[in-house]
Amino acid sequence: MKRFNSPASYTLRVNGEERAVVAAAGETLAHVLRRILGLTGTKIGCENGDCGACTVLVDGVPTKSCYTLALDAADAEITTIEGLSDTPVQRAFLAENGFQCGYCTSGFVLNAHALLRKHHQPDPATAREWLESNLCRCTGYEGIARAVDRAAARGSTTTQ
Amino acid sequence: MIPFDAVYLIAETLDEAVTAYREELAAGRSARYFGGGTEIVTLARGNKLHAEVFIDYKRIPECRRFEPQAGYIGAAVRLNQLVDAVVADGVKAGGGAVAAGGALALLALCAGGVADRTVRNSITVGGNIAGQLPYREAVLPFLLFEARARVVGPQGARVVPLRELLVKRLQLAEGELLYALEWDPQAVAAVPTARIDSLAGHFYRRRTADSRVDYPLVTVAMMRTKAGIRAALAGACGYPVRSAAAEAALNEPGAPGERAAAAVAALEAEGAKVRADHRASADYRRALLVSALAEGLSALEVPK
Repeated sequence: MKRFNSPASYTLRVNGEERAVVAAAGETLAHVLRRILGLTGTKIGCENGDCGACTVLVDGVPTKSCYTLALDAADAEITTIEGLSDTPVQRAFLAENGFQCGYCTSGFVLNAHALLRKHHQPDPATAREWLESNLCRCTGYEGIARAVDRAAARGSTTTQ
Repeated sequence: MIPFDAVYLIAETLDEAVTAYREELAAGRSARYFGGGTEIVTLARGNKLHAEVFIDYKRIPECRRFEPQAGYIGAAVRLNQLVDAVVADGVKAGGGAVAAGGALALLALCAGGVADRTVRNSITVGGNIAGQLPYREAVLPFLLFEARARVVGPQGARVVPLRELLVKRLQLAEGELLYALEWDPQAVAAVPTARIDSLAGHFYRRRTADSRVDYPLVTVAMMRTKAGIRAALAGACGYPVRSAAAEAALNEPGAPGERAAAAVAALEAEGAKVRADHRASADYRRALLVSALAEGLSALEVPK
């Protein structure tokens, strides 16, 4: 049995690096990433698990960090937007103008990145099912959808 | 974040979890079992939930075990494990009316209607069933399967029919943890249908007010067995429900629409009133419920 009192000391493995954390046991992963580790690419929108702006990957699985306790991810591999560089999904978002203000973009990119790692050529229903987890108030989703289609069509098997 | 100081315990065994709960209770501290945490964290942030200790059960082997073919699902199993287990069979979850074959498909359909894909990576079966929200759709197939709940607590372990444990809410004693659901897979095997235009044995329909990702107005899960039609409902009342009186009405002879209306009347006569809220009136929910039940009867029944 592991016991964490508040404040708790533990380690998170983020983007391939071991990072030491001292935080309240009830602190969410979103706040730890942003406030303690300085990784502000993960955004906080609704803080209710609805908008997906806070999406990160935990062991490669899209996870909304606003309701995930950081302690709950302490033995996992966490990937934030800062951990992706020049991926097919990111190039596709640029090519297809899949963003405007950019606030939702990191969440969409991480979710799409995970989608295409699991389904190299997702059918429209599968892509829609995954991307329904993220909201965008700016674009109307067309550019985002084109970006995901573009990344899928050109293959996203490059590991990142 | 959880806006109050709390202790977080990660249990590796059932005994550790229960012992920790008992010890914290004896020390005068309030404790809660912690699964995916989606509801706990959001309610805590809204000051609608408070505990001094959270006991995480997700590492416990009996809670993680996922053997639906053998009739066992642990409480820590994530909803997407149920969804992904049948995608390969071509059954897509989420909202459509699918007369799908196989008990596994019904598990996937009901789980797949909850929240969105990313959130389902976090929600556990146990957390959904034990939650405070009125919907708790993941429980519907287990009600149809007449599943048994495996429970452990300070007073020991017990196995109890889920229908006895889930009376509006889970009736668990202080310190008890529902750690798994089990059922007889042979008993829920679909009855082959004589109809060539539908798949055998199961029906699912979920209606929302607007988009697919939304709380349900009504969710209907139905199953045909050798003994007749079973139906479990969520969203229409304030809690998931399977009603013997409603099923008796569904299994009477007559047109599907008439039987469905009689089933809803029987349901409400038992006290499970169809609810009204800002999403829909009771009359609209009632109409959706009758429509879905009638559709299910038509989809599942062998023509006479």
